[in-house]
Amino acid sequence: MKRVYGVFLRLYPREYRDLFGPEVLSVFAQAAEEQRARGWSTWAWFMASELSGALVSAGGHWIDRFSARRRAADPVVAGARRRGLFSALDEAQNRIDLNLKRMEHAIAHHDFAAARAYSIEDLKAREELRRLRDRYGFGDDEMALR
Amino acid sequence: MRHVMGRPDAEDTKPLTEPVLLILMSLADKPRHGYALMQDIEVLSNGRVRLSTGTLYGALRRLLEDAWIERFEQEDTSREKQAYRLTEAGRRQLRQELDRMKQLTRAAAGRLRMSEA
Repeated sequence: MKRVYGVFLRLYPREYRDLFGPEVLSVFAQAAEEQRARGWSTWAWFMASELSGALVSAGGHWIDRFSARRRAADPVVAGARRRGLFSALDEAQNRIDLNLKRMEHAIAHHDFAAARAYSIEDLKAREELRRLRDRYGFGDDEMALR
Repeated sequence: MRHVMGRPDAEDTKPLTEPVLLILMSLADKPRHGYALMQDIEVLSNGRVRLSTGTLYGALRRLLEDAWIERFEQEDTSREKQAYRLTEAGRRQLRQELDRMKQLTRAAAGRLRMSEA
C-alpha cells in the first residue's frame, strides 16, 4: 500500500515531495499498520480516507502554490510581508537586548545562576535572529538601513 | 464553508482551523514527529478527529511557512522521522486562539444563563 500512496504522492508539487516525501510515506506506513491491526473494515475505511485525503490535499497544495505566486506579485501584499518581517526582526533584536540587560544586572548582583539562565536565553534569541536573517537574506547592511 | 468576516487588520486574530489548532495544542508541551502528532491529536480530540496524512502534512507545511512551528534537530532524526516544535510566534497564536475561545465561551454561557433565568 505504501507503493500505492507513493503514486498519489506524485500528484503533489515537487517542492512538497522534496521536503516531506519520505516522511509522509513513513507516517502513512505506520498508520496503515496500526489500522490493519484493528480489522479489515477499519483498514478499508482508513485507506479510502487516506487516498481521498491525498487527492484533496494535492489539489490544495497546487492552489496554494499558484495563489502564492499571484499574491507575491501584489505590491500591497509584498509591503505587508516586509513589515511583518521587520517586526519579527525587531522582536528578536529586542529579546537579545533585554536578555543582555538582565544578564548584566544578575552579574552585578552576584546572581550567577540567573546570569547563566539569561545567557542560555541569549544564545536562543541570537539563533532565532540568525535564522530569520538567513531565511530572508538579511545581511548587516540591510539591518543597519532599517 | 465558513463565513466569518473579521476586521481588515485582524489577520493574526482569524480563527484557526481545527487541524491547525490541534497541531499547535499537541506541540504545546513537547516536540513531536508526524506519527506521534497524528496519535496525540486523536487522543486530544477524544477520538473524534483522525487527521489523514495528507491533511496533517498540508497543515504542517503552512505552519512551517508561517514560522509558527519549526523542524527540530534530534540526535536520532532521520529523513523519515522529523520532529516539529512550536516557535514563539506559534505559542503566541495558540494563546490568542485560547483567549478568543474563552471570550466566546463566557459570552455564550452568559446568554444561556439569561435565557434560562
